[in-house]
Amino acid sequence: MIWGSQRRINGVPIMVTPGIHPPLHKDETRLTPIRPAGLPPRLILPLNQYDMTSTASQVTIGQKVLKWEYLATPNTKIGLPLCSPTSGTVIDIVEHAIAHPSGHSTPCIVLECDGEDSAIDPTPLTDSQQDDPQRVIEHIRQAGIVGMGGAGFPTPLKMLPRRELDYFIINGAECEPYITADEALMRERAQQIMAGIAIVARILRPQKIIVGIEDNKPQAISAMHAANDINVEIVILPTQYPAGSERQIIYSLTKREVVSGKLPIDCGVLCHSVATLAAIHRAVQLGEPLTERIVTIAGGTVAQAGNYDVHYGTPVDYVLTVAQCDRKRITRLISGGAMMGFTLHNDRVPILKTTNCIIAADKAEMPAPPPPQPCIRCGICAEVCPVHLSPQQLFWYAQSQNDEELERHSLFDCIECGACAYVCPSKIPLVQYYRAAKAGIKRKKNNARKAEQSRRRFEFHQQRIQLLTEQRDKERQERRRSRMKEISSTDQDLLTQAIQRTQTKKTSAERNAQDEVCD
Amino acid sequence: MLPRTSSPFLESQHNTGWIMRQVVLAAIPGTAMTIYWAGWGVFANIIIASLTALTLEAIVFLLRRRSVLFYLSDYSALVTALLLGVALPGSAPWWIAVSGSAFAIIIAKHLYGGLGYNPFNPAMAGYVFLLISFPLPMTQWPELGNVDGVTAATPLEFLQQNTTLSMAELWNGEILPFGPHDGFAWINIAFLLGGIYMLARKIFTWHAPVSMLVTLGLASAFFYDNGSATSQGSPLFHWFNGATMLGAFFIITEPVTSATHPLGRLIYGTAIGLAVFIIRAWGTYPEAIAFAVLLMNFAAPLIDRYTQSRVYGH
Ligand code: SF4
Ligand code: SF4
Repeated sequence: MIWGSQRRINGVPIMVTPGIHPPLHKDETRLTPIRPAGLPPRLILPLNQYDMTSTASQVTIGQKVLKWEYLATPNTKIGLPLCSPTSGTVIDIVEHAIAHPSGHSTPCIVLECDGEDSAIDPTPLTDSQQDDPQRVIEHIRQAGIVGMGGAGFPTPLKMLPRRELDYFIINGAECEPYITADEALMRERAQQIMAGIAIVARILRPQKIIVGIEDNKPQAISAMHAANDINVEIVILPTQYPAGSERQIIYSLTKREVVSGKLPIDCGVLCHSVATLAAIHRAVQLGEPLTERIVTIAGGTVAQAGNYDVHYGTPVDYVLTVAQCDRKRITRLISGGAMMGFTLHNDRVPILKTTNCIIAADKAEMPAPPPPQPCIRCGICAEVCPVHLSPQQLFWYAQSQNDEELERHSLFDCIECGACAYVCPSKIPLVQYYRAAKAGIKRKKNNARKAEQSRRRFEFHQQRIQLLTEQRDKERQERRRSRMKEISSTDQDLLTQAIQRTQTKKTSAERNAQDEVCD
Repeated sequence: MLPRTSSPFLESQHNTGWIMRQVVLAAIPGTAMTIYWAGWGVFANIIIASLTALTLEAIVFLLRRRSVLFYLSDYSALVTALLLGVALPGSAPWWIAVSGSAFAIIIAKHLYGGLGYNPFNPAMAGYVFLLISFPLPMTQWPELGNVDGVTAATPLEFLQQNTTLSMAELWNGEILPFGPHDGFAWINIAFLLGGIYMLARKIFTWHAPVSMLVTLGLASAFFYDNGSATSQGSPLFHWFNGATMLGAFFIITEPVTSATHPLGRLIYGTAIGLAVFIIRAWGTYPEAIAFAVLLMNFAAPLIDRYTQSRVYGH
């Protein structure tokens, strides 16, 4: 069966995976110039943004720091350091809620900004240094660059050359409703992106470089064409959600499918978002660590909706105030896009490197979800699933907690894009079921692994005890044998023998007692 | 504290109630045509079946302690009652509609767990229940266009019993006038229009109806012998007779009991088309749609199982 369907954009055929066409809500923000959000009084800088990038604080409370100075060093070899986004004083290191789907808190450095924004000297790489892959990747690591479009996977890890690179894909699709941060970046800072592409291309030497942009961003497309002095291919994608999801855009641009459970690099493809590439350019050629990013501030309660340059660690409520948001009217506060983002239940959490959008929606815009009706197996969900899953079957098995069938129906290939839930006429929160089911299965597997481990530990323990007892028995027998020999060989008077006997008895009894204690 | 909900935060305009209302809307021309040709008895049947269905559904939800209004608003009971009512002979006594509707809602739908869990199309289950339990009132159709209650053989019955007249004679002798007087043709055309409307509104995909009609056409063309006395009828005859279009667009497209995957729906439709022809040509019951649909309802889960798409990256 043919996978995906063919579309034509300006006469050029292109394969796309299934998807949906939700209202985009981009017009309010897409054409506004990028504005600086300014410096908040305080920044909240999480030490553990993600498991892989957990860091240990290097600073103490009361310490003054300059912009770009290291605040924390990674705990693991592959981790990323934390650089100060501005100058100021460390006033606290406390547990603080962060913008994470789990809603967890994590230790954060609280930095009081002094408003001067005075920086240490930037450390760019010279042109010849940019030839050395190790050096460039290390530099990117030191700049703390993570994938800025998605889950915040550390960029240097993605770039370790594991095999020949056939394709280098630059993701400028930005298909999620509301978000226009990448579009603004492409429109205003296309040269930075192109410079970033050139840096990566120089060290990884891909066969082909393709930039993919959705056709609803004509200004971004022409800006990218104008800045295209390195002759990369710019492909226009049909506007459709989720055209910009990593595996989906790879399919559209290379006709390759990333094998389930593998990484794109395993099939010779590297994919970076435009924002990550601009950050790479700034780190490598300007010497600036990644400490700020463009965030789309949108939603019905925001008067000055648009794209803002925001410092890492800026509290959401500060940005909302800058964008003149009527905070009392917010009914839903979302970090990320309207399809894959997550709700914040508190607006004092900091902006992270991966926060591309904040939606402060009012009631009319996002009313409370209606109660779900039964699944009528209409199959509309299956028609739009970009991974070709059967969402209704998954839903069925998730309800009955049939883990075996869930895995047989490839639950773990679900990218949680929400296309199925969007179209479902019965308004079933399908993605919620899938998330819960995935977590449940992982937990069960974890438990099973732990049980297996403790079973092995127990068996090992039993074996050791058995060995020890056998050894002790052997020793005991040997002792007795040698004693018998002694008795028979020496011809001493009965008294000494008797004394000896009582003594050995006593000691062996003691030893036995000791052994028992040991057991 | 703001509410925490799960993504996505947008939803499409369509909901299940809207879909069902579209089905009711699309069924109006066909229903009106049926009433026009078969008399007010059909209208009475539809009303009786609907009232029974809605009342029983409300009682079931009360007993299951669910919000009655919310669940009634999915309109599924109304659709079931409409499809059953329009399929009943206009001359049938009132208790036929009541018991058929009750069987459909209580036994075929709610005993299996309600909407979405029913393995069999409730309307067709109700219809077959009536056909088996009360064969006499269920097979006496008044002659179409003749509203005074004279029963006559329907063209399909006629075809089954006919051994002496050739198709051309049937045609020319206006026993089967495929012209403005042929009620069945008009009824089928009206249901076809409703079906096209639903296709245009994307209420369902084309796969099942088209494959059913094509298969029925091919099968009848294959066995068509230019209209001898033992002919099984031409494709046109089969397409525009009996409940063909009602079945193709309103019954086999019912999502709960059909296959879900496009390929599965092609298989499902093809099998129903074939079964309809076989039952019509060689079976004992002239009207085959209900049996064919129930038969394939059995097979739908199996078809689903073997028509999974290849998942990305597998
Ligand atoms: S869209 Fe909703 S109602 Fe339709 S099959 Fe999927 S889950 Fe069921
Ligand atoms: S959320 Fe999962 S199942 Fe639903 S459409 Fe997206 S990938 Fe498919």
